[in-house]
Amino acid sequence: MLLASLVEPSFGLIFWMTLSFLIVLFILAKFAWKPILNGLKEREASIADALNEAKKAREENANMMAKNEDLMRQAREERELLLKEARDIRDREIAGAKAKAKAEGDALLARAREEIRNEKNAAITEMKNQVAELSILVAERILKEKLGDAAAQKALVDKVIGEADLRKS
Amino acid sequence: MSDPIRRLPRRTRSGYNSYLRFTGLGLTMVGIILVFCFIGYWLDRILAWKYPVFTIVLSLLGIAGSMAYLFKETGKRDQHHFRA
Amino acid sequence: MSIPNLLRTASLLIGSFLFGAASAQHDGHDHATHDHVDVVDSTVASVVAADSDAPKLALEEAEHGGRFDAGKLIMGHIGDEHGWHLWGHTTLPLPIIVYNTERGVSIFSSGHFDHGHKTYGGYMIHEGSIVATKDADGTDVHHATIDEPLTKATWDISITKNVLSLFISLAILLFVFINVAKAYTRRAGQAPTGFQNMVEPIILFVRDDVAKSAIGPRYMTFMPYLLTAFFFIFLNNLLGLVPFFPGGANLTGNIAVTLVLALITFIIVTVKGNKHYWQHILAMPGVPGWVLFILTPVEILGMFLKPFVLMIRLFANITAGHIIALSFFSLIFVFGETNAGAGYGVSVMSLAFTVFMTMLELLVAFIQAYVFTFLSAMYIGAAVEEPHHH
Repeated sequence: MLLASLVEPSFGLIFWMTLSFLIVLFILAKFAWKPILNGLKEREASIADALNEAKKAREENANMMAKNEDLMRQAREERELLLKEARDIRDREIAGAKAKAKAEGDALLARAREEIRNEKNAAITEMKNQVAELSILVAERILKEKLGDAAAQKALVDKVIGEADLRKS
Repeated sequence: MSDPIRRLPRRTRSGYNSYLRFTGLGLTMVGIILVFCFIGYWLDRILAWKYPVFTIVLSLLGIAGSMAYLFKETGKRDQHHFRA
Repeated sequence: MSIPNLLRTASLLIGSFLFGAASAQHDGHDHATHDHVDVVDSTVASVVAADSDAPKLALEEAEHGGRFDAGKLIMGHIGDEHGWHLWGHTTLPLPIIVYNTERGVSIFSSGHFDHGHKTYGGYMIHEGSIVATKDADGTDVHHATIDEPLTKATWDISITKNVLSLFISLAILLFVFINVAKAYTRRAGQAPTGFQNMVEPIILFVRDDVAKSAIGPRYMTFMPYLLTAFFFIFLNNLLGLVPFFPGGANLTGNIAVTLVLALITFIIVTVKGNKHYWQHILAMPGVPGWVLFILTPVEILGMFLKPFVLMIRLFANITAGHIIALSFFSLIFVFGETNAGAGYGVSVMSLAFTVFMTMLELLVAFIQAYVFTFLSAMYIGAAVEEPHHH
């Protein structure tokens, strides 16, 4: 009979349990679970938001860093380019100057050579003329003298040649 | 750098939940067999045939039914897996 | 092991001494075949004086020819009673509310029954329940006769120990969770504080591990019921472990309570069940006709058996736990009756086991609340599940 009372639900308890449990269920649903669950959801949403935002900020930061690096690299590249250009210009200038100097020197040399050749030619011509004149003179004198003996002839030639001042003519 | 969202305590379906799904199964099967037996017994009492045909047939049916129920319940859980 | 757990255990032990002493004293006096209500309403005055020395008292009583009845001790603890036995000879009288189709409503204090010994207002307590009698007020129950037809027309909705305990636990739930809810609205979006911290993980557990995992995307509709049921069961399981006043009533181990809870689950499942659910019960698709012949009755049966199993499981687990813990405890007195030395010797073992069982019960308190809500959620989940496209 004790066991029977244990497994036999009593009417009074069923009655009170149904009534009070349902009332409490409705009160809790309205005044406790709703705000609690909403609060939890909101907080989770806000945490997720905050985390997302942090993530975004970090990403932005990373982006900025990348951008900065890009700028730096660009600047470096530009500098390199400028330097290279400057070097090129300098090299070109130097090369140009060198070439010009060389050309000028060459021209000078060429002129000098020309002049020397001209002078030489002129000298040779002069010499030719003088030789011709001398020859004529020699011939004239030989002709004038008697061309007796050989010794006298030779002496005469030497004399003429000695008299001919090559330099003065 | 790991994703901060990933690092939050992720609540996945706990392993023991899947065992819990079957805890009621044994008792339900026993219940099915008992109810079938009882109906058979009750019918035999009312009809009072020479042999307790209904008790025998219905108890066997109850066993078959509980087996079918077992297969259905376990099979169903495999197919319809719950979305966590 | 945390300090609250230890305190709870200690309180159970001390309280068990009280109960043990009261019931051990009882049978030495009278009523060889009395009802269990009397267990706690024993008429021994000495108990109050020396309640901390219960084993000795029990032994003394044994010397005087009394016999210790472990069954009565256990039943007294897990059963219900009109009037709440507090300690020793002190019982808190509770209102008796009886409706009789012929006599109408009667409301009076259970004190008039004089611990179940007297009749009052045409009623008396017999084997723990109220029966009608035609004898005059104040008649000794042993001389009074039960009026069977009138008793059949009697509906007892008294505020018994269990009903009062039910009210207390519901009041605690209301107080705690409305306050917690206030904290959520007041400190919206902020980190939880104080009591919020204690209940929030459990709420999250019920939401994520019970409702979400068993019901699926439409879990939100059923959250209020699941949360209320979980905390109701959990709180009452814990209160059942506390042996003195606000606790001590074995509410979740009472079949009427688990019946109502299971019934609510059943109603939710039946009302919220969609076409897919009914189709699977009445005519499981993809199953040949001759199998349906047996499967459909079985499914319909299963529809009722599932909540029935839910009811039995909670009731049986909690009651069994209490019976085992109290049995270990009773061993002290059972052995003590034969030999004082044996009593003291066994008491060491017994206490160790009782402590162990109480620890286990703390775990069971949570697990059973979890299992009940989870299985409820699963049945609901099966009822509202949308058909899958395979």
